[in-house]
Amino acid sequence: MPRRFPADELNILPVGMLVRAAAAGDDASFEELVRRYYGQVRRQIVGFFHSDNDADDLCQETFLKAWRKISTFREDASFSTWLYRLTENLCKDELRKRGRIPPAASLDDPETSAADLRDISDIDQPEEALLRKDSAEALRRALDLLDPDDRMLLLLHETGGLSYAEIAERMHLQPGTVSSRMTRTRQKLKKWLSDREEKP
Amino acid sequence: MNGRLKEQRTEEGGRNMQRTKPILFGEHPDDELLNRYFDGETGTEETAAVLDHLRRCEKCRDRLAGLQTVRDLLLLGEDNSPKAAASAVGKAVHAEKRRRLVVRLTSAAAVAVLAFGIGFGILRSHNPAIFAPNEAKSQDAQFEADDTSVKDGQYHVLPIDREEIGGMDQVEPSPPSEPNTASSYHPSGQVSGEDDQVKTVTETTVETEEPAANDEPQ
Repeated sequence: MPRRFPADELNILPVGMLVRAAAAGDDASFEELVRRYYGQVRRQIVGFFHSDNDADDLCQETFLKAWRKISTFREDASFSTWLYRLTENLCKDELRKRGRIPPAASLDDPETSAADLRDISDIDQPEEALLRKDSAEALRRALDLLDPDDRMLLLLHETGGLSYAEIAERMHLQPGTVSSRMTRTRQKLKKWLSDREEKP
Repeated sequence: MNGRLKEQRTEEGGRNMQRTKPILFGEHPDDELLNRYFDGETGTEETAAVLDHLRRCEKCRDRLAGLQTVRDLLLLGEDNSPKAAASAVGKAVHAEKRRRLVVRLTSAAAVAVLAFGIGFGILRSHNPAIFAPNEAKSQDAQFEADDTSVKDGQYHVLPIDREEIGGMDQVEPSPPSEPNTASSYHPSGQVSGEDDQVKTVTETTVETEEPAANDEPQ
């Protein structure tokens, strides 16, 4: 029997514990992983197709595939990296099915990802775009305020699924620097969000 | 990989830098440690210490939840709920589980039926009397009843289907070559022999010309 955690504890558990429990068959742990990584997967899909259409369906398909394969996950990479690769493969398969020309842009390019985040209001239907407008504009402002290196670092992690070590290697930084910069960048965003809530 | 800093395996299996400040019992983890914990970049000891603290500290649970909020807003905006998505995926997972269960049960039932059928067939072929002794007897009796060629210990010629034998009706029956043989020919279609054995001759064989007068037995 898989180990089951109390429902009110799931949101504080580390990723590794959730992955192991999910691999042993605990559905609640897997759902918590979906909650945590849904944004990463959805953003990756939207960035891949440059479209919001069918993104939720493809997200569901991706996580179903992850559920089927989670027992094969080897802990020599981070879960987010594994999920990123899985999503990438599913997007490529979907692209072949649709018979479309692959998009020129890649999520590996953080500037492209940043542009995707900035243009979040342009990719949806008008009604949906309107609903997102405030958030999208605020996000654009926040990202524009970030130091370019910090923005790249954040996006490599959040949309690219890269671990700190992988980011450090790519950006020629020390892992400790990645950690401190990530913390600092998130604090800035958090502060920006709280300021925005105070001044709607 | 930059190997200048000592690395250690993390709880999640990734790699991370060695922590510089130990977390003490009851102490709140600083922002950087909580941030690394959130990203799955802490080592085994750190993970256990932070988790232990989070179980007891509501304030730090809120700090952790705040990191997730920032991530969701950054990636999803405000109109996409990861909770709703997780619930939808959870339902899909349950449906997949049910489908797999049905497939397994169906396969198991099919295999069981097949195995039973094969086993029954083998057993029956080796021991037919065990399964249907009366049937075997009745089949023998039926065979004897159907065999109309033997009645009362005498041999009877069965009716012949003309069409089945084709062209046979064109064959003229040859009259007895020797009038005074052991068996004699009768226009009635009967042939009598010395042993008084009577054979019924079919119409086919009876359609013959009237025998000549000199063929009549003397």
